[in-house]
Amino acid sequence: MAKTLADLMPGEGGTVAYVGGEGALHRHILDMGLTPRTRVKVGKLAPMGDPMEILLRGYSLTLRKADAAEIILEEE
Amino acid sequence: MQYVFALAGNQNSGKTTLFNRLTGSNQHVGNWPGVTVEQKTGTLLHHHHGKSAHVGPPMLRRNREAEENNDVQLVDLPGIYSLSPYTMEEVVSRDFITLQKPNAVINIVDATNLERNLYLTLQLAELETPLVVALNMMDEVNKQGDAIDVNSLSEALGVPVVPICARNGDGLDELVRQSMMAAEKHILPGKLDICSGDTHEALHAIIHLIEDKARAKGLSPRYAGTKLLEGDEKIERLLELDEGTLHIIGEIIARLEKQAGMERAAIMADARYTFLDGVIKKCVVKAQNAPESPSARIDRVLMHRALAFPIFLLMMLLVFFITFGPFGTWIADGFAALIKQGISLIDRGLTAANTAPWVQALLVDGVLAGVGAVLEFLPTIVLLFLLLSILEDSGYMARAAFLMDKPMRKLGLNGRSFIPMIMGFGCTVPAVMGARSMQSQRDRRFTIMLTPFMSCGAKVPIYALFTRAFFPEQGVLVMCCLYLGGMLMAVISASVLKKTVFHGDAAPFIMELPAYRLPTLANVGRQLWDKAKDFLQRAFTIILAATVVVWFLQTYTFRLTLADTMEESMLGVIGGFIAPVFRPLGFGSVSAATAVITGVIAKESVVSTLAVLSGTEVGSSQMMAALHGIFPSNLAAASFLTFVLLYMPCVAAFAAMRREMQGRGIALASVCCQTALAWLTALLVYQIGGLFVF
Amino acid sequence: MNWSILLGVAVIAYAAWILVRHIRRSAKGDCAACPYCSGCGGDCKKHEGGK
Repeated sequence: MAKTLADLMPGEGGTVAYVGGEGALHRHILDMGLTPRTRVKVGKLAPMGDPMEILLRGYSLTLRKADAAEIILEEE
Repeated sequence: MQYVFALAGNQNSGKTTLFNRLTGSNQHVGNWPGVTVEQKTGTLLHHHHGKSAHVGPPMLRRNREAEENNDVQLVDLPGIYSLSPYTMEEVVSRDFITLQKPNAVINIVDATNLERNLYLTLQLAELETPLVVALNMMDEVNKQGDAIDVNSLSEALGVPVVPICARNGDGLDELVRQSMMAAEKHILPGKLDICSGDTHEALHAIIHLIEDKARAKGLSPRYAGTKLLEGDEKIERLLELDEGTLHIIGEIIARLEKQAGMERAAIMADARYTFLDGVIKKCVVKAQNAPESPSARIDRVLMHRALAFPIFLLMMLLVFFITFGPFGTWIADGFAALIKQGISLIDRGLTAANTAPWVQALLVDGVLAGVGAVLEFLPTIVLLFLLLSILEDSGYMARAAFLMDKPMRKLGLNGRSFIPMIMGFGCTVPAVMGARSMQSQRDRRFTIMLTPFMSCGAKVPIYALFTRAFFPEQGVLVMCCLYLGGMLMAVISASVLKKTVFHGDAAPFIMELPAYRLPTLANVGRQLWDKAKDFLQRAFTIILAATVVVWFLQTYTFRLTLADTMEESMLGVIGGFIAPVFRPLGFGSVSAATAVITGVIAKESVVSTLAVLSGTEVGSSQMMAALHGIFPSNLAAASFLTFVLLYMPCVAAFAAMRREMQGRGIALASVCCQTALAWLTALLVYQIGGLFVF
Repeated sequence: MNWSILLGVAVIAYAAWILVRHIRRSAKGDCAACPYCSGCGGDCKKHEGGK
């Protein structure tokens, strides 16, 4: 099973392979820069572990674990 | 000739600061027609449009006035990240540029965040409208140790790029100059080839197909073609393409998707970001060994997994302590004393001028007493707003939303709902407006329903007054109880609403976490000034009117003779009908009932009405005594406060709710339920509290 | 006529006008208490002067 963004721990990084999902959310995720071949890193997690802070392209994005699970990472 | 410029850019890019700087105080806030998206327009300052050309003898005044209007209107578009068809903000923005055809678009770009900001720029450049990029936050770029080659960036993008620092006002003259020039000479952005290979071919094939249709609709073929590739249904419909064309496009896309290994939306996004990667590499030099950003360092403490919640609680408590604790009350008392002085001065003046007695009564016991009672709380409200504004502008509120997302989701809401609710502590109306940032109708309505539970600033005078009269030692405690109580009721209502009216889940939560920024004095000052001005206007219009009405109803009987007793007056009769409803709650007097009713007009009226009805001066000991008369026990006061906390919000809030929820029925239902809930809760407080001897 | 009576009438007239305007605005669904619409974002093109 490929790793998803949701599987990463704070400090861990990866490269996006495929962005799942559909509709407005899917488009928004892409627009915000989470595209294939993008390097991402996890910044911190909210106290209850959700949502996550994703570091990409020089800025911070909040993303829920459920949505992060749609983003599949490349094999390292 | 009057020019229109549009200002576009990401959220958190300093757009508001820039807009304020460019337009000064002449702004007008309204609505984009048909949608609940806020629209700000203003007149551009510092431009020399139309003034440069004239040479020769001075023109006669008459001639000069005959010259056309040389104003430049600046329209602030909503903060957006892209031009997709999915959100109202994006649609409103792109429609404005493509259909209203402004003379130029100023695109503010956060230089510390180039890639994502330029993603929008690339799309704006497709719209065949003069475009100027304002590269903001250059000071922070320098601080980080990075360097941006503005000239090569400009060349790479095909548009003029002007470095600015909106906070300090640097570069603004140049920005205006470049924008004017671009508009006057109608300089269009250079055509960029963003895509390569298969995508390039496919895109051009599509453009070729729809060129004529696009031109016929006044759209740039490049824009239309790109959008069609992305699967933009709005553009598809707008172009009215025939079956054949649609089919061919479908084929082109299907083939491209297979070649690229991605689906259509991803293809364009990927192409743009890949292009931008190249541009950045050419034009930006990043600092070696960049130190951890200040924001990250701050977050390590503030957002620490264990500390985050306690720190947040502390922040909120601090806000309350400053506003309602010793410092806040000291300021409030000082201001109240000033007002009292003013009123007695006027009173003596009127007596000296031999004013007709009924007029004097109207002015002093009516208007001045009422308005004065409300005015007294200006400093408190301003202080509260100041603190909340600072928290928001600094970027902390975004983190609060991040923290609160999971708990909010348990209630069926979104972390995003958190910010409007916090604003509700200031005033329900902008909080209800703030709910526009919610992605879905359901979320919006749900959030709006809950905002009235966040005790608004107008209720503060009521709490403060009663605290002073009945619970002088436990001021802060009472405030905390009230505010927390409100929140508790919100939580309870939310759980109920979630299971009944608002099934399903909240919209997804994706949000940029902006860097921490020191709020600029100018921005905060402006917000405060707006709020203070708003408050004063309310005081001297609605509150004044309400006060006059109350005074009138109290002084005269239905036969328009002078009333000798309270019961005889019109007010007494009306109040007499309503008062019994409140008897089980412990405050079944005419005065209390009337105060509650006037509170529907504006919450501050509760205080002004009580002042007028008891015929006493604001903040005087007589008023305190009168209050004790109206509310026989501390428990009755507590019950009254509970009722005031929870019952329907003022008409202004109701009107806002009705408009934002887009349904008179649901707003009305919500308001009725609130009042019923208020009644029940106050009942419980009074009856159960009565069991424990207070 | 005593000037103060004029003053009294003026105040009452002003109050009446405010009320009427308020009711009319509420009916139109405007931000009912936003006289000059700063920061309420409502459909306030009807405000004074319309600058």
